[in-house]
Amino acid sequence: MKKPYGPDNRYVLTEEHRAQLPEWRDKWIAIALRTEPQTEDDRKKVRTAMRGMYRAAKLTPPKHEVFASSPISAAIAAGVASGVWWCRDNPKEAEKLFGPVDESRLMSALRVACALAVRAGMGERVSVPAATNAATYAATYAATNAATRDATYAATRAATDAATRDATDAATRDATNDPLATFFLRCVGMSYRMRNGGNQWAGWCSYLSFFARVAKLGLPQFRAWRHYESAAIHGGPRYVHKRFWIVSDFPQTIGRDEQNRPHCLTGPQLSWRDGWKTYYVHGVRVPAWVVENPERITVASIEAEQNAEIRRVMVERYGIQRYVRDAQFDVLDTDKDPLGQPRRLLRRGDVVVVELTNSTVDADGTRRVYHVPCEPELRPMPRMPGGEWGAPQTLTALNAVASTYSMRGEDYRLAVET
Amino acid sequence: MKTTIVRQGDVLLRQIAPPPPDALETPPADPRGLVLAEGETSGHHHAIFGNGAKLMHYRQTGQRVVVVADSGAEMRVVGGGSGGVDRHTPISLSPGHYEVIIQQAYHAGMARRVED
Repeated sequence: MKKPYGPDNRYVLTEEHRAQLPEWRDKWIAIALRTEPQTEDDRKKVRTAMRGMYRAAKLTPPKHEVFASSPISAAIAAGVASGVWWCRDNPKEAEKLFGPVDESRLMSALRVACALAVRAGMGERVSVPAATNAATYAATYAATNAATRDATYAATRAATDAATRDATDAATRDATNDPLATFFLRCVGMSYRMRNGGNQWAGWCSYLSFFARVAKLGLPQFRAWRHYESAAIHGGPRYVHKRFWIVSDFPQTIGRDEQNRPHCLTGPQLSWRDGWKTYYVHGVRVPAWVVENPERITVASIEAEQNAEIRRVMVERYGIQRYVRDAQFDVLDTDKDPLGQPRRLLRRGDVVVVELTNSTVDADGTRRVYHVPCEPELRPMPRMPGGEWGAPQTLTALNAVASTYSMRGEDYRLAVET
Repeated sequence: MKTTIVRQGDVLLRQIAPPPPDALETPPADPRGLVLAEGETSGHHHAIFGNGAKLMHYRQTGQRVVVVADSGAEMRVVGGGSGGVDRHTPISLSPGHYEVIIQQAYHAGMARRVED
């Protein structure tokens, strides 16, 4: 009989198992990036999983099982519901704090709190030990958890967390005359304590499930953990309370750029079926109108934007050529390239561009003038994706051009240029 | 060794000392030839022409290297001519190894290829 795995019989990653790492990683990346809505079968499996987790924790599964359309709706509902249940379970303390609390007042305050929380959230910012052991850990962790996280974290979990945090924080700040409603709003602000990421925590699940499903370690803990795994496969973020649980559906859209950062130029980066949405451009969270109505971007609105990252995105949406033309840029340096064509280094705020003139003449007899955005300190750009940036250089046109070819100005000596 | 640097639009070739033979490998062949870069907007591409010329890349980093044989080679722009006017004239390359550097622009905190 095979000796069970344990402290004196450690698992070592085999070549056969190693070969399955990419497939396992991709399976969980797909789970994290799911945009199809939950099906009835998903909900049935989530119910079984949630009840199984309560029982595994030696808790009685709650009667109130709720499915929400988005993590933000789930957070608001969970926060308010936890407050209501606290009042019901602690009537004397609730009366001391808030005066007489009956069901009618509870429901009235609940409605006020939910309305305020939703309104606040819909604001501009939120549109809604041995070497072998270590090696095995390192190899599987990097290939499963780290890879899944790299591919999905920013675009799903981080973006959702930011949107939920903004919505729930805004709810906490909102004012109402009813102390009971204020209490519920505070509960919304603390709802993160009940939160689990569901499919958005796929990185961790991919790592743990590898040992259960691929390595087949057969550990007794997996019998309880399989419910956690199932809840992550069939549901989004969830809020867990002794009186209820709320599980969110999957988003409708998830936008990413080539670096897996949250990104979408044509609509919300993340959107859910209940209308909550959030907007990102290359990892920068921006107001909805910057994406949906780029025609509203003007030099004045760019200048008025306080956030440097959002301002930079606005400049890119406006068009660097157009921005250089419409705004008054400071000329930092001028010179001529080896073919005698003029070059200028221009700056406005934190936008630095080098203006170049083509050495060849177009069919109409003119030469094209174009602008290349540079790193603001003219650090030579990395030669390969993920490479290192060079050291800062003096702000000259020559250094600017050299930096765009990953070189320093003193090394940029062209023998031939056409 | 004297370092020769030549530039054709957004493609720059910088002569380097020959890397150890096992540091380089040959990528899958491109039916169009030794294409260094493609124009994003005008359909042209920059390519190397010459007997025995090779386009290889470093096994470790993927960075590309042009190997020019004793008979020399030329870097030319193919296609995408605007009104019959060539965008760039050919550049002759003497024998040796050249690393390929494509011009990049700064966008959103990262370097991205310049749209040509």
